[in-house]
Amino acid sequence: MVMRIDDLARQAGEWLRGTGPENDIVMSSRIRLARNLAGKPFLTVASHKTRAELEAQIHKALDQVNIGAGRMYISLKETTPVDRQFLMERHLISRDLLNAEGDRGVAIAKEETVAIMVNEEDHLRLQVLRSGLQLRETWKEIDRIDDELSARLPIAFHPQFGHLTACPTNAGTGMRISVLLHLPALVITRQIDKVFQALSRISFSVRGLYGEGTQASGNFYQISNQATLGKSEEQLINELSNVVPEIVKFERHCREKLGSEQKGALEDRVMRACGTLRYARSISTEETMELLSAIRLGSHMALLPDIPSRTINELFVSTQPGHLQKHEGRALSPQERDLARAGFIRGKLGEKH
Amino acid sequence: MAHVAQPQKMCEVCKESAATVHLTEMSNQHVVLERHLCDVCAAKQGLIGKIQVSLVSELLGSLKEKGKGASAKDADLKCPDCGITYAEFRAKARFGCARDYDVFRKHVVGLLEKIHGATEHVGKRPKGAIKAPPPAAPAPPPPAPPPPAKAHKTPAPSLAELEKELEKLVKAEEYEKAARLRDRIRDMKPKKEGS
Repeated sequence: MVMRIDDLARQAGEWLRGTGPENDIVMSSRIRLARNLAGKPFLTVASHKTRAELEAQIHKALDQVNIGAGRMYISLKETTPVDRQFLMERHLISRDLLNAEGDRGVAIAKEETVAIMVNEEDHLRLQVLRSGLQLRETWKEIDRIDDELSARLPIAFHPQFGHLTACPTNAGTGMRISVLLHLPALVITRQIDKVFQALSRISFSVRGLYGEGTQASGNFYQISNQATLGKSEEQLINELSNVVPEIVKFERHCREKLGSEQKGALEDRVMRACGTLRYARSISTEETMELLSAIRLGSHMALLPDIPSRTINELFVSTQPGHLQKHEGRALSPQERDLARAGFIRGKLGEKH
Repeated sequence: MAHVAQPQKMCEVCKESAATVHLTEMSNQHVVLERHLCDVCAAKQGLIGKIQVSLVSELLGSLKEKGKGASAKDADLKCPDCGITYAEFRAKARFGCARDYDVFRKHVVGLLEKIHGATEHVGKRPKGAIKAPPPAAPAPPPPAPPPPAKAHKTPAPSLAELEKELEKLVKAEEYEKAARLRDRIRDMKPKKEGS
């Protein structure tokens, strides 16, 4: 069956299901690999003609690689801005690919756990994304796909510098590991800065939900490796695998403390958030993220047993501007979006009478 | 860099999302304009990209101060393949093609050291590059603890000789051969920390 963007809109990505290990705190594990074809200019200087050739060559190779069931290839030149925004909000394409021009695309498979971007900053950006903390499984899968692809395409590789990338910050393994964490208790108890300081001392970077340069809305934080050269993929994964459980433990500790020492205040925060989400008639993205964060915390602390965590996870993405417009089937002004967003949330969380 | 939390200002463009990108435009050292945008609008205006570029550019700049200073000659260094000059690379902080890494090599090594704290790749290699002549090796370099000096059977040339040969191959851009030789050299060397 040929899948299309509209089919994606009817489902939610696997990584939002909240099924993986430590899913009360770890939303997702993601690994991406940057690759370029040998003997071709990078996209920084590639002509339109070269871009088109690259996309065709890579698309063809991708067709021969087992990237999983339900595969589709989306040629982004032929998509609308709303579709591209929609794909970015689902973490299937990057903002760079959204904003780029000319021939480019993305191959998606396996319930959105695999996404391979073509003609982003590098010729190829492979991504595997999974629910919860599953770095080793994620690596196993992307390693296999990379092997299959690199057996079919000549990859730019240097004996000293490793995989060659357009930006020197990605050279070597070309690998960026990101773990998306939900850390509301660390924020409420004002411990989050400690985490940042500790992480930056050991060379990990912290970013918001939608990557580089974004605010940590909804108390989501992406922890990633900074260096990509000089360490093997396994080493990089081990390092992150050692760090993440520490943060998870710290967040859990703060949740327990909140639950015992500030129970009333916490319940009030969660219930007010729930009330607003259930009754609001107009609500911005930012407020939505903040309130969803509170009810996500409440749900995992058994304060809101009637809302499944999967519903909450999905709302973080499905209330984004691109998703709302896709859902409504037309472009909406910011004011219209706020109205539509409130209506959409009421539909999902059920207005109580 | 993501700056986090803090009281929120709204984006001046869409007035919908919180402003996360704060810019101060200067002219003759006077503040001309202060701008507060959300990341989406900032990206639309190409501002986020600029900020990232400037980080690498900054590193490149600091390298210059530290070293003897990139001479005008270096700025004119030009890649015969993609046509990018070193000056252009510095401005954009993006390479034009794979060959730039060798063309600008003497600057690249320092830059990589600054960014990654390392200059040598130790991870996996593309399948195609190693699969060609030798029979398909089942796995990339296994982390198995090697006996300290597992002598090769061939009347082994010295490490120094091999390294010289490697340099030659790199210069000649015989990367596949070089990659294999490199691994051979690595196997000969005593293992360093963190295998």
